[in-house]
Amino acid sequence: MLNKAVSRRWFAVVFVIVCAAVVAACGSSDKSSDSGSSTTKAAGPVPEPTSPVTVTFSSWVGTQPDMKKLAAKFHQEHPNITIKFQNVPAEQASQKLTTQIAGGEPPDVAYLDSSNVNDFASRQALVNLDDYLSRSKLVSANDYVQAFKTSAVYQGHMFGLPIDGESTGLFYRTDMFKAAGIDHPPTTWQEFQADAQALTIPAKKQYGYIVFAPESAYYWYPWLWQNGGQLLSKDGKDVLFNSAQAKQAADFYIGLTKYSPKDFLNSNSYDGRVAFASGKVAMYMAGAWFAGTLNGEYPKIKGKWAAAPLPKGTNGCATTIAGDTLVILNGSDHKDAAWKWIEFLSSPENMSAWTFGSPNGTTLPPRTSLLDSPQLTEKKPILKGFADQMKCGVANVIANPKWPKIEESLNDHLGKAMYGDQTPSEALDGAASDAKEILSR
Amino acid sequence: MSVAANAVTEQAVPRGARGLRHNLRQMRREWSAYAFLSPAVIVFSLFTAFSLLFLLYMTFHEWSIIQPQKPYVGLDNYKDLIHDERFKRSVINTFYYTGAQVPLTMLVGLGVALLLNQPLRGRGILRTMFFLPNITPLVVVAIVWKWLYNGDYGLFNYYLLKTHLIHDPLLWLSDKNLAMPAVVLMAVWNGVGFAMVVYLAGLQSIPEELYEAAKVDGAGWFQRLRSITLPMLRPSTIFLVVIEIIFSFQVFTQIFVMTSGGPVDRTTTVVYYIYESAFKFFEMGYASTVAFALFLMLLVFTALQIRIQRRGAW
Amino acid sequence: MVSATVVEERVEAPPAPAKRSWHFTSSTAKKVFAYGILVPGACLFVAPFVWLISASFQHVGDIFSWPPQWIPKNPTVEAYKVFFGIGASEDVQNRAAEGVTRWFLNSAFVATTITVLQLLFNSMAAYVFAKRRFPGRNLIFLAFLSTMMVPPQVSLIPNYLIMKHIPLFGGNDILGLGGHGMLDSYYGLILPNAAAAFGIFLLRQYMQSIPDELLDAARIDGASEFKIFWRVVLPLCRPALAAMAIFTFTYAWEDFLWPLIIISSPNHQTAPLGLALFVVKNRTSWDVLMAGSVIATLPMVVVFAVFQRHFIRGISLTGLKA
Repeated sequence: MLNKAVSRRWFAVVFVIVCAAVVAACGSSDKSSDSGSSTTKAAGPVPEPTSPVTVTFSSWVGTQPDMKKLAAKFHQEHPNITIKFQNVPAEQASQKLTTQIAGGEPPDVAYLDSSNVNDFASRQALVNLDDYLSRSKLVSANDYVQAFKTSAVYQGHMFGLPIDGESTGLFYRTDMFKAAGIDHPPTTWQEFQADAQALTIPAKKQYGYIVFAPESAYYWYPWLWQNGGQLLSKDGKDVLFNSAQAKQAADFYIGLTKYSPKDFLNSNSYDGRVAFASGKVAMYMAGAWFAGTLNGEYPKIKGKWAAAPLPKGTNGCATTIAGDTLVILNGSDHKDAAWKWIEFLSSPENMSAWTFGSPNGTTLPPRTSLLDSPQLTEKKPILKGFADQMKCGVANVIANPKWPKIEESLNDHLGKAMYGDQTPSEALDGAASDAKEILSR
Repeated sequence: MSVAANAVTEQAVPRGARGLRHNLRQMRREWSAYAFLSPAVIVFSLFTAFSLLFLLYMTFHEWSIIQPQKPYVGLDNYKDLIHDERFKRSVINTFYYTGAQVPLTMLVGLGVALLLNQPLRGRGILRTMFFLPNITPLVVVAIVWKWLYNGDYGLFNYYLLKTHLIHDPLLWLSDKNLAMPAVVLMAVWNGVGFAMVVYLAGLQSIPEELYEAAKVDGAGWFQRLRSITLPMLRPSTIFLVVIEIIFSFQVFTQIFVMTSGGPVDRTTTVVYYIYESAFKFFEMGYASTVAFALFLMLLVFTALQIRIQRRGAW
Repeated sequence: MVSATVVEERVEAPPAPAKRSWHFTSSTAKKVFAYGILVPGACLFVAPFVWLISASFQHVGDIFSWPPQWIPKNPTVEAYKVFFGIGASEDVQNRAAEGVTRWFLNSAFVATTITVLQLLFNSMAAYVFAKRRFPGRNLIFLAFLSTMMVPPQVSLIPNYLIMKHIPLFGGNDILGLGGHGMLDSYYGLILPNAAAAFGIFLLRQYMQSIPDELLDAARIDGASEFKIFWRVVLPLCRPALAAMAIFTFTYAWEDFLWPLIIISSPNHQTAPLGLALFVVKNRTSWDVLMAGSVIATLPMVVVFAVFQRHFIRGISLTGLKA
């Protein structure tokens, strides 16, 4: 009898805890109902905190000495604000941030991959920065390169400050080009195809280019844009990626599969770097980061490769961009102090130090004024081509919370086309009908 | 033999047959049993019971994790699930993976355990070597196995070509039909150490006298295996089957690092689909529905296995 | 008396020398056969680990060279130096991580505590499932097993919420509001793993083979349930307990997802979490990652090597001192 009462008591305790958790869960999920509209509407500069404040900063770069130096410098200029680093591995950063927000314990500031900003902005997790920007002397919304700005804008408001970025270019093996008698990297689609064909010699296990089915959509975009195609309409409501220009671009792109090694077809692009480094593949499309990788991991092929801008299509130049953006989380209790931190990092001096000022880095500043500066060319000559291309960049981020699902379908269909299961045209039509269905829900 | 009979535990009286009063009296008498269970019960109620209930709750909502609005959608998620082709594909893939990986891992694990149960010199080292795949970091395993499977330079193709078993290099991870077998092979390699340890522990519970007696009766090696070893290992085998199926069904990272779920979704499993829905598409309500379906499948499966075991069918 | 006979029979079981005579007849053939299968097999099994060790002693520019170097051509301990932050070279300063020793201490503490707690709690539960009859036994057992059937990806957020709202921890009031509960603490890492259905199941299977007569004899002698459990059952379970300890320690040491989600401050980081920081998208410091992984794997190897000694027939017989 006694022990039944004991076990009953345990059940009661557990029950109370469970109820409390549910109550708290419901409570905390309403806390961030503070929607994305402006927070403070004061004028003049953002006030300095009057008592010591800690700003938590979640990122995967907190362990780098450059970032630590910047945090120390910041603390000197703002003695009342201390930066506390929360270090997360890059690959899981979004997952962790999502969980923190859902659990009601978000950091104050986060260093996010630019392609994720919209996912959070569209779900009211980020602070609208328009007001802060209008009051800032160090940062101006208009100074950002268009494509980078697009990735941080949702419904006309800016929700993040892009802090670093890169564009995608074409890496090619100069030794293999020479052996095939080609004296310059391709600048048009025709040249690209001809070069790829000339460089593909299956008997020698050599191929001109390399395509990756798991990332088929991402590496199709430059061709799509270069041909004048679009993904979705500006308002995000209509599907445009099965237009005639898009199908032309898809035909061209999928056609490159025959110049690509089959045993890498299901590989991801990062593993595929090995094929380029080992001389199996002559051309490889990648961001500026690849230069750093080649220098670090494959020093033996130094001098045998170079980088060039992507070829131009009928609609001119276009390339994908990537980068990182600083955001303030809506659940933060120190929004003003958080602003000061990201404003500090985004100031011309500090952004330069963080991007091209760092010895081993390959990132570029997303501010036009800095991209055009002579110091960039001086410090990182190899990045000059990528810097120029930044202006041709197109953000593949669509300001529609349903976009990731649509992109997944597009990726699947194009992948099937690479495997020959359907034609490129069928692939685009199939993805378009999936997209329409997703958008209509 | 009392020992063998103990290998199959059965409840003498069917539940509820003698009425509630009897059960309550029995509960009072056996109170210490419940006391022994209480630490585990507390841990599980706090952490797993709540998440299961929450999971069920989420299946009835459009829950996009961080968005404050979480509208109630009734059975919509379930309806979507039934019509979802990708989900069905992922279930088929998962069945394929489990159906191949579990028996192979157990067979090889049993073989290795039997061999390493004998007094060989250096068996401690050998046992450790067979267990190493279990603790080698996944990122390293992926790198090395991708090399092995490389079309032109991989070791497997190298030997297959040399011995003229094939004429063209196999594409392994990029081939639609070979990708899953390739992943299964790696998974078996990974899991053998686990099965080996379980069987090694189980082998220790077999009294030596049984083998002595059988030898005296003139039983050969295979006969001894069949009549003594395998039946005595039944608890371990049952454990392995149930556990391996539960874990196999939830495989995710090991496959993903090798094939990214491709080629064209051939190796996408249910849990990958859950992960994608939750953290890529922010559709936690739908992800929960998939997870709940998985949970029910596993629950039914396991309950059946336990029931079969109780009836002594295998 | 049945029990006494059983006890005597077992104590008189032939010790090792008899075993030797049993194998004598075809021992060489058997040994050759066994080694012939085991040694090549073991080499395949060990290959990635061997490569890992080799890579940890290579320069980053050599690691991915083809063919892979099993023995480094230009061995270097640079990666280890950077990993531990030894030396004042610029490279070390740039790439070293902070608090590496802290990671390992944290992992060691957490994994050991979890293993010890599970050894106790799991065996208690396993014992009653194996040897006691009580109403609801099979249902509760199935319920325990069902705790393994929910993939972590969906239980992350509910568990995170629970952690945050545990009353009277981390600044929480009695209703669990106001603070951050057990988030970012050792409690948060240990408590959800204080018991596990996996271990309970494993031990239950093994305990089923313990003869009931031993337990009955002890009961007749007037021993309490706990004494029977502690003095009679547990000592007989050493192989299974060793197996469970190996698995539990390994799992706790390698656990990545849960610590990732609830740990924010560097003080509480565990080894897998720390190592993952070296994987920065396309800028992974491979050599340091390899060195760190070798160090991180060693404790598990040691735990295995130590506990596998219990997989030797004969210990279960001598454990009988009822």
